[in-house]
Amino acid sequence: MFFDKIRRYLLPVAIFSLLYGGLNFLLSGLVLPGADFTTFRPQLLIPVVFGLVVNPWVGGIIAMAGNFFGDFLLDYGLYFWPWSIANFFIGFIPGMVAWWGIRNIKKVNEFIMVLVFVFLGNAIAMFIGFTTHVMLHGDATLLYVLRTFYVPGVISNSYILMLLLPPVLVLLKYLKLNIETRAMFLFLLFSLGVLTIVVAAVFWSQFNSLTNLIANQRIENGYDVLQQMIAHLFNWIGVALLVILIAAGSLGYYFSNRFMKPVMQLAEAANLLKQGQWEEKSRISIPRVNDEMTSLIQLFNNMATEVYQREARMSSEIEQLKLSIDKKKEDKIVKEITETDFFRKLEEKSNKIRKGKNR
Amino acid sequence: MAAIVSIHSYRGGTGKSNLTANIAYQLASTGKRVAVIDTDIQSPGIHVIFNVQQDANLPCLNDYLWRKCEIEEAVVEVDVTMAEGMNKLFLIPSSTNTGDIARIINDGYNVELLSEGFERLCEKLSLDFLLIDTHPGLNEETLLSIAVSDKLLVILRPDQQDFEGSSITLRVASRLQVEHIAVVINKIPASLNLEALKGDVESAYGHPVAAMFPHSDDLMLLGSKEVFSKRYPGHQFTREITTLSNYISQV
Ligand SMILES: Nc1ncnc2c1ncn2[C@@H]1O[C@H](COP(=O)(O)OP(=O)(O)OP(=O)(O)O)[C@@H](O)[C@H]1O
Ligand SMILES: [Mg+2]
Repeated sequence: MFFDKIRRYLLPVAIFSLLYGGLNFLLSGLVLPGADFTTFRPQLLIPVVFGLVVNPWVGGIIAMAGNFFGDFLLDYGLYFWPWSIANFFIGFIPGMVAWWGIRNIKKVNEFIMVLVFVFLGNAIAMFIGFTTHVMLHGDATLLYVLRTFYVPGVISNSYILMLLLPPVLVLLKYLKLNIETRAMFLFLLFSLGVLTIVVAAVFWSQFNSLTNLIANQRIENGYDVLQQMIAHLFNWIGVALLVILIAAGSLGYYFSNRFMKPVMQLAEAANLLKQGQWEEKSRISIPRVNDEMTSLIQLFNNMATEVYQREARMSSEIEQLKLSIDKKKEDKIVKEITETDFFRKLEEKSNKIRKGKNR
Repeated sequence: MAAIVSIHSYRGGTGKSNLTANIAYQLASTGKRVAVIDTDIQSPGIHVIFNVQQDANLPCLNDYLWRKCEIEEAVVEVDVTMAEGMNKLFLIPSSTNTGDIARIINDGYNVELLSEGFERLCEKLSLDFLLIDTHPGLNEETLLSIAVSDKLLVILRPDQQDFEGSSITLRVASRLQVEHIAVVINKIPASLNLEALKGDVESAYGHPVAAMFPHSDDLMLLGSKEVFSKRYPGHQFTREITTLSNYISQV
């Protein structure tokens, strides 16, 4: 069953595994100074995107095979094999959103779900990687490793993915931009950009003063201090990421409720009206906030009601009036009018006129 | 030879004045020479639609009936912006002065003068059409107007009382040997079947229905302040006015 899932994609799997591994090799130097495991790995995009766009298996296999290949290039051989297994989940877990029917992102909650699964993929993969590594090699306590390497690692991966993944998904048309997803997308991009600048500035100043201290032998254990400083920094980045995600999601939900929902309701109601299926009960409920959108909804409701009533009038069984004449009463009135002297004279006169005209 | 056309309804408020004004405008815009005379002395109204200001110093129909002036002196030119090829439109208004109205109701006047006035107007203004906007009911001046008319339009609404009243008018008009008698149905509710209504009315009266006007909110909203067909040339109401005007100039 797993092979079924990737058979059709063998060629891309091969190519992108090689690319992933190759980038692991090339970008292995992209390590935060002093932090062994907190590398910036934009190549993570490859398995994540394949996991989302194609299917989880393809994403997982690319990450796993690619990692083996990268280790081979880096001359690690099979020493870090648990890491390659762990990498599988980086590509696999995000792709799992398809199991909940998410084949592309059109709504805020789908957007959030994808980001959360991307995060989970990294968190789980790296947890597996670190625990098996500690179990196999036992060169440090698990708690120390998790605190010092795991948390910053997960955060750096999540960070780079949150920054790079949405634009790529837009290009691939997996993320469909509409009112709500656009709001969330732009907010994410903007706030992550700001975060990057802030983090770079903080890191730069801290790192410089710290390396000075270390170089001047003013503190012992310089390496540990640096590690802690970086772990600390990453904790803050993690908090910032969480805040940004929540804010972006809230903004998306706000836009969804305030604009997207009424727009969709208007479109739906317009469609009903077009098909002649609009009814009084299809009136859109007026939002409590009073703004242009509210006016538009009111306008539409009124217009639809009018069109509806007009149509009902036209199509309702065309009625027929029953009019009658009371002959006796009428005879009496006619007699009263015609039996006066005035009327007799008038008759004569009109007679004369008619004759005159005929002449 | 001028044609005298009476526009009448048994009951008030059927739309006589508005229809008269619109027919007059329509006929004039096809190059006919048209005058409208407001014989509704008791409650004049058509000058409002034509936007004619009443001037106490100028003679009007009342002055003629009191022999204070000749009928042609009471003529005013209606100032409707002329379309190309459109003829002048004349109006002989009645006084809106309450004293004048009371006097004419109490003292009466020589009704004969009215018919002489019609003839003289036709001649002096070399008219094609003289349209008479009448007072509702069958009082003497209305009967006289009908008697001297070549054509009579009886306006009614789809309403039992209008229906009965119009029947009386039509029978009286037949006795007076009016040559062309036609019925116009106005203010028809949108839900009524026009064809069935037309059939019913024609078979009940034995006279043709020359035009049928649905009730129009647009017309209502204009509030008799303007000639509707001038303001709304493409409107359904205006098209029906054209039909009616053609009917009048052809029969
Ligand atoms: N087809 C129509 N649809 C809607 N309203 C109409 C229609 N025809 C006339 N009306 C309205 O009916 C009212 C009476 O019209 P109008 O004054 O022309 O009637 P009338 O017969 O001359 O009345 P009166 O008997 O008082 O002289 C006006 O408010 C006019 O706008
Ligand atoms: Mg009137």
